[in-house]
Amino acid sequence: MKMFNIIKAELSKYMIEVKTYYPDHIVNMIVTYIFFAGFFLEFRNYAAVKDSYYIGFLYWFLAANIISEVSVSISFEKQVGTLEQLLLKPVSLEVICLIKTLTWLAITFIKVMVLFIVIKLTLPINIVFNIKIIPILIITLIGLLGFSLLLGGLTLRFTKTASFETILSYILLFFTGTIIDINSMPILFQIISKSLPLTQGILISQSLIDKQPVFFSQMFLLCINSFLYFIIGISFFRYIYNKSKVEGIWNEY
Amino acid sequence: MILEIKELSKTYKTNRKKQLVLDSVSFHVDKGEIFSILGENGAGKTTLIKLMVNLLTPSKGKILYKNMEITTIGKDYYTEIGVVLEGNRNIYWYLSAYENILYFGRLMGLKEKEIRERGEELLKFFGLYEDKDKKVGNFSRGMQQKLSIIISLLHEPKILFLDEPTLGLDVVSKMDMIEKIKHLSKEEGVTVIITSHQMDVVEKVADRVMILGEGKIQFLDTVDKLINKYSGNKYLIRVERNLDDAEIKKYFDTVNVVRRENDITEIEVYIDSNRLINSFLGDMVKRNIYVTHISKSQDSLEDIMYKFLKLGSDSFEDV
Repeated sequence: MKMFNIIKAELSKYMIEVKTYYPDHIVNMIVTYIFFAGFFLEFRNYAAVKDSYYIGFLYWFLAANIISEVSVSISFEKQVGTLEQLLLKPVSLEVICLIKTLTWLAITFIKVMVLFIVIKLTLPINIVFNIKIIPILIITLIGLLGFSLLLGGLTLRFTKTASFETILSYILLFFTGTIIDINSMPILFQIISKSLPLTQGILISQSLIDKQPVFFSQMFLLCINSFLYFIIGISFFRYIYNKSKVEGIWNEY
Repeated sequence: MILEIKELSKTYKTNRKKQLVLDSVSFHVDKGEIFSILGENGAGKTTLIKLMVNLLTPSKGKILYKNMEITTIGKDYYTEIGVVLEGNRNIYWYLSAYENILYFGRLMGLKEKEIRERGEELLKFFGLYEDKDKKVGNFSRGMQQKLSIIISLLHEPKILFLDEPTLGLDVVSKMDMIEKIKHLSKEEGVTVIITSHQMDVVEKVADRVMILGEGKIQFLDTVDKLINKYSGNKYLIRVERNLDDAEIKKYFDTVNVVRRENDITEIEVYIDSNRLINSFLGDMVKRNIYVTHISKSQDSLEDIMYKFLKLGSDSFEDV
């Protein structure tokens, strides 16, 4: 009941925000359309490109948005002065932040799906989809939520972390197989790449779309990777939260 | 007793220096009372409130709510208390009053029906019902403050913490707020813990007052006791004769001549002993000088606090 209430609270508030600031959302949709269309049209010109060429980009797009959501929320609440009111509720801040992120992610996902349909209808491109990638996407997103909490913890302590998040989103773009093949990277980068929260999910999803076999070890690695990122994220957030309670920095912005 | 504070200390570390804000403070708050915390800027009032609502961790000491340490109660503590912190940003300005109520009510885990019924009841009580669909950004400071209190009361808390609730309010809004706070305490049994710089507010609402200074409790008792203990007696006397300063100084050391014209002298005197007044009045009668007015007044809480903070409680007692 409590969780349902929080989801309802966040969803209603988000819909009001959309209604209030609708021009921003229209601009965002148009920019995303141009971004996606450019990406798809560029890859269409290469005959060697596989059907799964787009999935890495979709994962990255969702990841780039999700990883910064907790810190954006905390930063916003600090700025408008309501962060302490959220702390004074009978539900923990990380749960509120996660629900905010999931609500936002659900709406972003719907927006992306609508855009895909519009792209398919308006541009001469082929998008192959396999329903089996949905659970892979969900498991990957759990790891990304942990990553998001980790950055949220930093925002709780240091306030402004937006530039740091931009760097991270580009690291994810270049080192997770989104636009560069991991196997063509130096060995050290391959190791780093495979330990990032996005890479395993992209590799498995690409295999599924290209109708190639997916091994148990790959799935195991994905689950472990996501689980670890989630646990590390929550633990780090808790640590910073408790430290902030000793030092008292809630109002600093 | 609903809240008990035991040997509470709070130290902040700033630039490798330790700053002791609260030093072994102990007191209790009774159920249903209005308890006021006073002190200069930086005396530790807001830190104390934040410790009592578990937004800060104490360096030492304990805070007990109904004999249970608040840290062990965890997040459930927030179903028992309502908090309005200093400033007017406890609510979202881009939402309407009603949308704010729905949002925060849901976060409190209340059912939709409860939120609507209690919300409407409180909106009517605080006189905001007609404005419930207006954006909070268009509200006056007083209306925003009332809405913050409405939201903090949605879940019917046992203790309401108010940090400077009347700051920036006009006279009418302030008086209205005072009445509402008194009603909540006296009629609904809510314990109110309030900080304020406005002594007239404290004088009108508080059952007990605690003065913080240099991290310690400087005074803790009822408002009446504070006034009786620290207020010097002030007399206003009017006689039908031009008395010169030398004549007046025979009786009073601390005196202020308010008026001296047309055979009338009006003086304000500050004394602790009635003997001097009797002596002065006796002499006036003997000399056939009419005393047309004599009245006694006490310092307001504001005057007392001014002297208290300016001189300190020890030197103040010597006055």
